[in-house]
Formats: sequence, C-alpha cells, structure tokens
Amino acid sequence: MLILFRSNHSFDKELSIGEISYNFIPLIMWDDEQLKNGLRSGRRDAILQIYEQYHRRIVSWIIRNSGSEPEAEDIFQDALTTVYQKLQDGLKIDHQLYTYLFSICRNLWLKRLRDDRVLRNGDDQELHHLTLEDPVDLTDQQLKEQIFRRKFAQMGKSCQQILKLAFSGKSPKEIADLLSLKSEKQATNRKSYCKQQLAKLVQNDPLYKELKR
Amino acid sequence: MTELHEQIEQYVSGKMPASEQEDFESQLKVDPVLDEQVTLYRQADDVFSNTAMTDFALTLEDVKQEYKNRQQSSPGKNRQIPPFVWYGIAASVLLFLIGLAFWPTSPTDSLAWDQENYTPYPAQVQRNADSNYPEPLRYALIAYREKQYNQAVLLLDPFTTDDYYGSLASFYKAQALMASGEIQKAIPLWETQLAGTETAYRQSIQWYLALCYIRNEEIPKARTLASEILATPAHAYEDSAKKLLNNFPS
Repeated sequence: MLILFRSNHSFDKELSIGEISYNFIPLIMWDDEQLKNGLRSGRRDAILQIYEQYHRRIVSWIIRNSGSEPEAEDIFQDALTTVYQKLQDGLKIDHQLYTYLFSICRNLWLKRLRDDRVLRNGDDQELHHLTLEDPVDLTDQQLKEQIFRRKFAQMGKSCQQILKLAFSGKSPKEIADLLSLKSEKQATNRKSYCKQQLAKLVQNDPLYKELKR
Repeated sequence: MTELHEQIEQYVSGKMPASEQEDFESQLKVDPVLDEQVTLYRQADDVFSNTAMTDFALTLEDVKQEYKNRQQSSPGKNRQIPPFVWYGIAASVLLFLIGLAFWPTSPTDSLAWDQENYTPYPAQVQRNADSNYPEPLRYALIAYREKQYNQAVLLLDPFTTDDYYGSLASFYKAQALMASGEIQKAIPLWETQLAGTETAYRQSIQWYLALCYIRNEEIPKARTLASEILATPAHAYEDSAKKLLNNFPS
C-alpha cells in the first residue's frame, strides 16, 4: 500500500511542491491484488479506488473515439460489473486490473460503434500495449442484463426497495408488512407499477434499442 | 378490466385466471409491442434473481455519485488558471447571453413554429375502477385526456410529492399546464424533474421543455436542450430536435 497526499484530481500527472493545492486529501492507494480482492467482495472503498484511479483515463479514451460522456459512463459501469461477475464466478485475473478493465471497455465500445463513426486509430495505438490477446466479450443477452441493472440502480429508492424485496422472493404480504403498507393489494400494485417503470427505462435505453435491431 | 401492466405481471407470474389466459396469448401472437413488454418482464425476473449482482449494481451507482460529487467539489480543479482569467471568461459569457436576450427574434415565428410542432402528450389510463392508480390520480389522468387541464392540475397536485407516483404526476401536471398555456409554471416543474433522479419520462421532458422555451422566447435554452437530445443516441425526439435547430439557428 502506498500512502500519498495529493489533491483530488488526475491520477496521471506528476505532482511537484508548486502544484499541490492548499486543500489536499489524504489518499491510500491500493495495489492491484488489493483492488481485485476488494472488488470481488463488492467493497465500496475498492470500487471508489477504481473510479479514482482508472475512470478518467478510460472515459477520455471513449470520448476521443467518438463517444459521448453518458455512453462512456455506461461503458465503464458495465465493464466494472463484468469484472465483478467474473471474479464472483471464480476467475483469476492474471493481468493488471487496469489492462483487463480497459480491454473490456474497449470491446464494449467497439461493439457499440456505428458504421458512420470513426475510431481514431492514433489514440488507439497510444494504448495498444494494453490490449489483451483474448479480450472478454459479452453476448447481447449479457449486455441487456447490464442495462436492466443500470436502470434499476437509477430508479427512485422506493421502487428499488419494493422491487428488491419482490425479486428476492418475498410475497406481497411479507412486502406489505416490511414496508408498512396498508394491504397485500397495495404491495402488488406498487410492485407492478415499479416494474412497469423499469421496463420503460430499459426500453428507452439507446443500447437496448440498438440490440433490438 | 385491469391495467395492462397488471395483466402482464399476472401472466408472467402464472397468476392469470385461465379464462383470461387464452385471450391474452392470442393477443401476444398478433401484438409485437405487447410481446416485447412480456419479454421485458420475464427478463427482469431472471436478471434480478441474482441478488448479489443487484446489490453490486446499487453499490456501483452510489459510488459513481460519490465520485462525481467529489470531482465537482474538488478545489484543485481550476487551480492552474489564475482567477482573473475566470472572471474574464465569466464576463464574456454574461455579455454574450445578454446580447442573445436582445437578439431580434420574431414572436410570430416562435408562435407559428410552436403551433405547428406542438401536440399534447397522450395520456393512457383506463376508466375502470380496478385501475392500479388511486382513484383521484386516475380521475386526474382522465381529466387530462379529456382536455380538462385546470381540473387535471388540481387533481395531480397532491401526487407530485408521492414516492411512487410523483414522477408521473409531475410530468402530467406540467403537460396540463403547458396545454392550458401556463408555461411559466410548467417550465420549473420540468427543470426540477430533469435535475432529479432518472425518470422514464426524461426524453419526453427534454422535448416538451424545449417547446416551452420556444414559446417563452428562450431560444438559447431550447437550442441547448435540442443539442442534448441529438447527443443522445436513438433519442425518441431526434428528428424534432434537428428541425428545431434548423428553424432557430444560432
């Protein structure tokens, strides 16, 4: 573990005494194995570390290669979810976490690029040494699953709560008791309404529309 | 007759009465939109049966928000640019915006364009008493559909702060206000919705708010929203946004 004091900005730049802000944040930088283990456990602090260290570089690459910021954010989230899933399934990642994560992002982005967009090879070559020989690929079904999870996480807390209980197998009566609702019917109606909202959010997702074609 | 989404939920969970099931399945064969809805409901059940992945998705979204908040509040962001340069940029932007405010626009053109391009958003609600919505909300949506906009606004108002129906109620309340010409009240409602949590009505809000801005002679704001629409791949109002930008060039 390396302990640094730096201002909360780009991970890439070297800092000199003259550049350190008057208001800096103590930061403990995790090494690669610690990040992988933390991510495997779904630890919030590990995920935040990954964001701090890798997010800007990867998002910048996608934006330089014809992506919008919302697309880049989605790609980064989907890739992180994929890595988590692989770790949960028992996969041992031999590569550096950044290399693995970037390769998944790159693959996801290449899948989404349309014919009329141009991949700027100049920027790609810059990071060429980071490309895996056998990059992780996601099926359309897996991509749809990612969309569902992303949209669910963006819903209001009330709908998240009720859907989480419903999907975990709780009956309407149990949901009504846990959430102090008036009746089972109210629990059923709210679950039904929230599921409808989720379906609408997924249907309106640009990637979902592309996958449908 | 129950609401459509209740029927879909009953069918997907195997709780639809046998007497209704055959009709519903006949409908599925000829209605691809309904078929897609059923597929979505089934997929949701499959995806979220994995609770670990669901929890991870929630944690990830929380962390993303925390990271973004940190980035926005970072004091080091602008430290390499001297303050007087930022004051100069801010003054230039302010002068530009003031200039735009006095830029001659034709009220008639905005009005004509609005009349040509605006139609009230359709409301889909069942009259039946077994509707999923609470009765006052159902009546509100029926009032909206019947173009009784003032009544719709009154009936929708209590629901705008509801945890479940707040998003829907705010959206339709603003629609009713816009349809009855009360643009100054519709605009802040939609601005608040856009700034809040993700809503299924986001794309529609972006477009209708842009129309409000046109009607209110706030052309730059309308153009900004239209540009955001175009920056979103496969946006439902992509063509409309292009038309707006062509009709109101900068």
